[in-house]
Amino acid sequence: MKIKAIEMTGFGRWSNQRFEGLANQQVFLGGNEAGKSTMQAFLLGMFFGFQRKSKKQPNAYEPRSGAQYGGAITIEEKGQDYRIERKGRQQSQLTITNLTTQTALSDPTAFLNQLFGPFTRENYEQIFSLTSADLATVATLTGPALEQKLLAYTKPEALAWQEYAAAQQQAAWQQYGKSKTAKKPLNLALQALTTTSERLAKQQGALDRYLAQDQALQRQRAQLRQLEKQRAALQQRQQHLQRLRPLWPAYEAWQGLQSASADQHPLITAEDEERVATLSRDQQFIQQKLAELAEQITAAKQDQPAVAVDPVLLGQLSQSLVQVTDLADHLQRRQAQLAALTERFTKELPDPLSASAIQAIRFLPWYRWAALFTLLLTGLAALFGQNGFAILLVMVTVCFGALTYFGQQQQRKVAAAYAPWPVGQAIQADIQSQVINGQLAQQSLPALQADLRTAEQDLVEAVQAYYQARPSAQQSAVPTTGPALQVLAKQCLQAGQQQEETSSGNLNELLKTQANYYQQKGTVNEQLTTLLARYQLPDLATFQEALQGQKQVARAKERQEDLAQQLTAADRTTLAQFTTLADLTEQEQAVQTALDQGAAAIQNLQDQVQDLQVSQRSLVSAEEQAGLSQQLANQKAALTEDFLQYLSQAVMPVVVDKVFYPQQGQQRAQIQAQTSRYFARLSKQHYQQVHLDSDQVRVLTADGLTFVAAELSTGARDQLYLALRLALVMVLAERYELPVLIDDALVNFDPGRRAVVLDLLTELAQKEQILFWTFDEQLAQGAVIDLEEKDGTS
Amino acid sequence: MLKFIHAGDVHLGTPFAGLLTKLRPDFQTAVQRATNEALQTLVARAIAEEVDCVLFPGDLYNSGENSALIQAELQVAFSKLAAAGIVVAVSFGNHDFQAGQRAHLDWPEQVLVFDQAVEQKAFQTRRGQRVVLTGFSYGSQAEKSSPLANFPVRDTTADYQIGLYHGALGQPGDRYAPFTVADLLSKNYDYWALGHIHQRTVLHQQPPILYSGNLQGLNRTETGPKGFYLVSDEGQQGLLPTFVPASPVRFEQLILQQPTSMAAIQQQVAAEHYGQKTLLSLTLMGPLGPAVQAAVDGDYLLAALQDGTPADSAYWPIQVTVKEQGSTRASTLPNLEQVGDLTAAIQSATNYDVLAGYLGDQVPAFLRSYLQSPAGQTALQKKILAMITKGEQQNEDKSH
Repeated sequence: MKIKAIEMTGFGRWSNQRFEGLANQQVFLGGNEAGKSTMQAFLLGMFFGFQRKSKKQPNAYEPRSGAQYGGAITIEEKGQDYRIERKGRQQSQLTITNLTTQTALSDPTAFLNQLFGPFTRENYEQIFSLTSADLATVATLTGPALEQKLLAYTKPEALAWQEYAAAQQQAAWQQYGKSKTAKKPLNLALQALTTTSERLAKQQGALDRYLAQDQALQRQRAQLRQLEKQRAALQQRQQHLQRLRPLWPAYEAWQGLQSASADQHPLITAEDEERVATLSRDQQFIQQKLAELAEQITAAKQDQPAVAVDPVLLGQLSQSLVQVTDLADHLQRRQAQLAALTERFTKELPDPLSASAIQAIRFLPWYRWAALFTLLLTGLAALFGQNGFAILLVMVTVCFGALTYFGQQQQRKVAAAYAPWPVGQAIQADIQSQVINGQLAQQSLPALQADLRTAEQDLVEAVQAYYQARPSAQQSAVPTTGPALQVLAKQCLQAGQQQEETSSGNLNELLKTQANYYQQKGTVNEQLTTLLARYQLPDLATFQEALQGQKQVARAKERQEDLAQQLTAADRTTLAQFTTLADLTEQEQAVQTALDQGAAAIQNLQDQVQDLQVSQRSLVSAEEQAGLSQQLANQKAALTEDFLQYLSQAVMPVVVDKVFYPQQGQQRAQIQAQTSRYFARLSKQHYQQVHLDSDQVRVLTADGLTFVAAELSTGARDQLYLALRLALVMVLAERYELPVLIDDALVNFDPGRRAVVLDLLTELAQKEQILFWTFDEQLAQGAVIDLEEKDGTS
Repeated sequence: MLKFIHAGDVHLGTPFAGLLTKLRPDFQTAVQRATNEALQTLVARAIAEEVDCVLFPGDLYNSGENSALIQAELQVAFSKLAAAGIVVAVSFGNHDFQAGQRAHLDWPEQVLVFDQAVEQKAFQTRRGQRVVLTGFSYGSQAEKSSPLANFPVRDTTADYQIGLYHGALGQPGDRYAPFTVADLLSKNYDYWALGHIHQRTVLHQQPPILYSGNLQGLNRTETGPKGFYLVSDEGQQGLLPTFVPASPVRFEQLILQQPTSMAAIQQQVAAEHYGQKTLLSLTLMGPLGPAVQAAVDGDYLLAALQDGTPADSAYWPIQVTVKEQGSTRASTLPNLEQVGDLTAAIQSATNYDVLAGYLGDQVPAFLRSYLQSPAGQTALQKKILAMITKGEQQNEDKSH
């Protein structure tokens, strides 16, 4: 677009003022108050509408002359001229006429919208309207907004998508805020999720308590079982002690009987007791009888002068005689037997043969034949040259020869000893048996003879005792052995007996009876002594004592057995733990105390168990747990869906940018490069590069130093911003050919740099119309309109 | 004869995912109790069938959602099974791997728990047969190692040998204890009770190598009947599994062609005669009737369907998707796909580094993880594309 003419009907100092034939690079020269800014404001008003009076915009440019507010401009757009007319400030009337076709546009606003594309007044001022005061406003374009701005400027078809994307993004910002204090719906939903999570975490935190409580519960139950087991044992003990207490007297009695029943003497059998009793009675009877006989004999003796021989002596004499007689007979028989056997042999009685001798004799013929046979074999072997075999046979022959010799020797011996018996009969068993018996008889003779001599000596002593009692009866010396002694003893006995017979019958009878009784007494005493000796008892009194004691022990044992039926072995073992009844009672009390304590402990544990169970039930809150869990899942699902919605809306502008400009920062790079070139020229190559970061503008010197815009001098900063503006214009000029309005933007530039700027503007004027307002005549080159020559009115 | 139950992925106490909408109160209750009721169904069936053992090859519950309630419910279940003389074998998977490391209630001694190292556990059945179980528990969430090499070959002295394995088919280095069918067959076991995949799948017939699937579907992609396998060799044809449904709530999907009205939709859904509580995902294939289209445009279709669902119905709609709507009107907005590479632009804009700039610190980790995941990226990109499409249509409407 190019502005061909400006017609200000009433605008500030300008009234009915017209400027025509404006060039591509048009300079408006004028000092302060010349109306430069007014004209610029007028042009912006014509493009975008007149601004209302406000605090930001106190100057409404009311026409000083009172003329009608507004005016018109003539532009050339795409080869056609248009007259844009705006009248009135409050509700200005806009009309656009196509001067080429002389038709008024039905929608002038749309025409202008299309003309200026995405640029608002603000955008236009930021990019195309340069003043020294607002050069820096271009800095606000840096940052994330720059890309979108550029996209909007360069690709208007993106505008609709940008608007859509911006609307989506706005909708997204309505749903969620990044700050911690945001209260948007998604923020509230997140808070709700956190609340639910915390509630659920509390529930899940209860798990540890639940498990710990379960462990405690099991321990307590185990303790409880233990305590109940102990209580049962105590109760059992208590019952036992209670049952045993009344049995204590019985136990004491049993203990007493225990010692009483300990009997160390051998047990007297009933038979022996009876026997002893019988013998004792016999002894008493005999004693009684002897006493009576003694009186009777005394009386009888008073009537008998004769001196009787002591019947005891006679008894001893008789006994000894019998013994000697028996032994003598035995000896005689033995000697006769031996003589009979010896007669059967030629010599004396031979010795019995050994088994080897008998065998040697029996097998003698065999040995003899064997020796001959092996001898023959030896000859044959030698004959046939079997010397080894012959030697062996020789040895065998020698063996058989030796056996034959031994046998022959034995045979000769037997033949000699057992003559006249043949050898064959001599080795028979019956003959050998007789020989053995004979040898035994022979061997027993000395013992018999010794016994006979002893018995004969006793007999001699008995005879001598008789003679001592009746000295008158001895007529010769007493023989010491042999039949003479026996005859003499017999004579003495007979004499003694005859003497008794010659005595008065009564005394003899009495004495005889007395002797019998004495003999019986002796026998009874002997038997009694033997019997008592069996029990190691010296006498009858001791025996009776022992018997009595035994009976007491028996009674004690019976009593013990009775008591044992009341007291079991276990009872006795238990009661043995106590010394006295008081000990037992004390133990009962101790058990009772333990039971009481145990009951209290059990009750306490049961209470704890119950408390734990209640607590556990409270931790297992089915409805709340399941509900919270599902609620959390639902909230998460909803949040996921909502955040997908939010993000898809929030990133929509990014998507649109990416679609239109796949390479991020493509335009930014272009502007950056152009800005760098302009700035390098403006700074006379002092600054080489410009970087447009997301949050600031940086410059790089030729020395490699980096500065941000704020660090530059005022002049350098103005140069930078001017370079940026011009770069923006150049880049945007590819799409939009809009006039650039420059109002005293070079005040801070030195003359040299102003010249550079002018060169740049001249270059820019090739593409864009440059309207340049200045007070500096040196800058007034090319097409110049001197505003001083205009008085504001036509 | 051996009879047992194979139930993988019980996920006791795990909530249903993706339920964005309100639920009818009876459904609300059913959803909250679903996993526990499924477990109770399993226990009752195990006792009725007098099985010898119940196998749980992993993910019995989620460590992240473990609670006193879950522990109490498990204790009840295990106690019932133990009282009936039934052995329970438990191994921990990728969701409950921490359970083996954290304390839990003291389970009855009939409950055999597998350690992180491969173990063999033997028991005697009521009929005097010796069964050897081999298994392991996860030590980490991903479990990239494959412990199969440590599984011994079949014990020849055992009457039965069964392997419990929580993992996925794959190559060494993959996640979740990768294995191959050939590897399992090389051990000569009588049965492989697999866990981890929620879809019931048979990898091998004899010997059986199979996933029982999860006991209860937990999101709308886990459709159809869910339950466990009752396995027995009563017929003397080897161990044969029979599927037993156990889930009290079922997810289902239904496609309706060109529904003309809301009533038509309700009629078609009712005609399905769902026999149990069903959470229904509907897909409507366009073109739609005017009222339906209006509901779609006004974004109240699902709410309208829910309002129109009979109070005693066994189903409840939870999602409605419309496909192939189509539009013949031209848009004044340029087609972005023709302007530039829209797909690349969307992918670039959904890069997490870009998204992170729009998220404050209060955004929770699960959401950030989701946005970084392939599923999250895909969902966001689809949404942006739908928004662009909608933008074109909206602008077109404005232009008219």
